[in-house]
Amino acid sequence: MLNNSTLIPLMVVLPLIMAILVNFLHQKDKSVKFISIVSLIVFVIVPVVTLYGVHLFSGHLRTGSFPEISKMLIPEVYMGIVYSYGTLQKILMLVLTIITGFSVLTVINKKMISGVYVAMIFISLASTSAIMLADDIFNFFVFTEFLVVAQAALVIAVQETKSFKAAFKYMIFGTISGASILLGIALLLGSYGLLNITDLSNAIAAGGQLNSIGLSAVALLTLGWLYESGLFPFHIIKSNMYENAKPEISALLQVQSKFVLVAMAIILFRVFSGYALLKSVMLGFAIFTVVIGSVMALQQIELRKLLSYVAVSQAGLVAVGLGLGTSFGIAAGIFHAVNDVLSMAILFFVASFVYDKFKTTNLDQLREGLHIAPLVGFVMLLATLAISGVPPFNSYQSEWRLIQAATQAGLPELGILVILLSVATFVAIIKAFYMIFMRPGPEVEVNTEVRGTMTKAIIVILIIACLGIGLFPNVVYDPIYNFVLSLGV
Amino acid sequence: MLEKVYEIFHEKMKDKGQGMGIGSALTSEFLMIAFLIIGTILALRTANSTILAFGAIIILAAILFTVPTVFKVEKENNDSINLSSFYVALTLALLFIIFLGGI
Repeated sequence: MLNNSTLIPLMVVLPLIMAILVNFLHQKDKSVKFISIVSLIVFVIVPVVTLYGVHLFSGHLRTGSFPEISKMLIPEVYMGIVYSYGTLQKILMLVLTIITGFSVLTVINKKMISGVYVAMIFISLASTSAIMLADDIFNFFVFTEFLVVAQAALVIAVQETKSFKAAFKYMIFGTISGASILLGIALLLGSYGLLNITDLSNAIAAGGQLNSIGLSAVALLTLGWLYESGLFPFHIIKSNMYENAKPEISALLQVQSKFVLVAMAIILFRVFSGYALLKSVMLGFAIFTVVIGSVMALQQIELRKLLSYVAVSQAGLVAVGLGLGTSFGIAAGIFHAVNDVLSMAILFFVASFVYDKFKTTNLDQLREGLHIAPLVGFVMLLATLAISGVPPFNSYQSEWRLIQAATQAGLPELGILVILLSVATFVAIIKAFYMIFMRPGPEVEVNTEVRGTMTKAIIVILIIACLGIGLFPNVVYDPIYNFVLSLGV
Repeated sequence: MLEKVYEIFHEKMKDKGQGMGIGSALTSEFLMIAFLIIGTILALRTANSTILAFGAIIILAAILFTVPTVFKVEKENNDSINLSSFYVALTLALLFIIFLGGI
C-alpha cells in the first residue's frame, strides 16, 4: 500500500544541490548553461519515473486514528518528515518543472545567464516542490520561507528601484505571514503534539469540536494562505512582484503562487476537515480577489501590470473552486489552476517578447505589432481566448466545471459572477492585444536584433498544450478528481 | 446621476488614453455593480427574504450615489505600505472575529 520510494525526495534535493552548484560556478557562464540545461531535463524526468507513494525520512510511527490524543493534554511528539507523492503531485510537478525549464531557457537565450540567478530559480523550484509534497506542516512552513526569499531575490535581480521596492514590501509582509503560519503551527503542536498532517488531521477529527486555540490556529494559517496565494489583502503585493520581475520569471512566479495556493488549501482542508466555516471564509476572500483583480486589470495601460492583475484575479478563481468545498468544486479549482498557469505563462512570455522587441510594455507606446511579429500576435489572441474560457481551450473546461460546481453547491449566483469575470478578463487582455498588434499609427521603434525564436517556440508549445487539454480534459481532470475523492475532504 | 457617468469617466480617464481605456473602465464599473448586487444576494438570501429586500435596496441606493466606483477601488488598491498594512491588520482581525466568534 505504502511504497517507500527513494526518488520522491529527489524532486526537492536535486534542485537544491544544483542551485548550490550553479552558485559556485557564478561567472563561468558556459558551465552554468550546460548544468542548467542538463538539470532541467532531469527535473522533468524525475516526476515521470517516480512511483506513487510515501517517503519516510525517519521512523514515523503511525498514521492511524488517534482516539487517545484527544484525551491527552501534551502527548508524545512524533518527529519525522514525510513526503507523499500521488497523481495530483505528479501533474503539478510536471507543469511546474516544464514552465521552470521554459523560464530558464528564455533566460539563457537572452544571455542573462548568471549562476546566482539560476540558483534562485532552482531554490524556488525546490521550495514549491517541497510544499506540494510535504505531509509535515513544519517542513511545509520552512519551504514557504525559502520560496519567499527566492522569489524576492529574483525580483531584486532586475535591479530597478521599483523592483527593489516590490521585493522589500513582499519580504515585509512575508515576515507577517511567516510569523502567522508559525504561530498557527505552534498552537497546533502545543495542543496535539503533532506536526505530521495526516496524524494532525486524525487527532483533530478525534478531538471533536475545535477549541479556541484550534480556532486561533485556523485564523493564523488562513492569513498565511492568503499571503502565499496572493489573495486579498495581499493581491497588490503579489501583483507588484509579477509586474517588477522579468516577464519570463513572472510566468514562473505565478505558477508557484497558484500551486502553493492549491497545496496549502489542501493542507488546511485535511487538517480542519470538519470545519465548514473555513471554506466559506476562503470563498469570500476568493470572490473579493477575483473581482478586485479584474477591475484593476481593466484599468491598466501597462502590459505587465495588466497581466499581473489578471494573474491575481485568476488565482482568486482557483480559490473560488476550492472554497466551494465540494469534491467537484475542489477538483474544478485545481484543474483551473493547471489550465490557468499554462495560459498565463503564454501571456507573460508574450510580454517578455514585446519588452525585448519594442523596448517597452506601455500600451500607449505600442501599435502595428502584427506586421512585425504575426506569430506572437496570433498566439496572444489564442491565449486570450484560452484564458477567457472560450472553447475549445483548456480554461473553458475548468470554468465550465467551476460554474457547474457552484450551481451544485447551491450558489448559482457565483456561476453568473464567473461568467462576468471571464468577460472582464477577455476585455482586459483583448484591449492589450489590440493596442500592441492592431492599433494603427506611426511605426514604433523595434529592436531588430531580437528574433525571439525561443520565446516563439515556447508559446507555440504552450498553446498546443492548452488546446490539447481543452480537447481531452479527462486526461488531466480525472486523476485530479480521483485524488480529491481520496482525500475525503 | 447615471446619465453623467460617461462624462465622469471621460474626464477621469484623460490621462489613461481615450476610447478603449474608457470602454474598459466602464466594463469594470459594470463588473463592480454586478458584484455588489450578486454579492448582496449571495450573502443575504440565506438569512431571510425581508433582510434580502432591505439589503438589496440599501445596495442599490449605495450604487446610485457612488458610481463610478472603480476610481475609488483603484485609489484603495495602491501599493502604499501603510494602506496594505491597514488591510492586513483588518483581515487578521476579521479572521479572528469570524472564527472565534463563530459568525
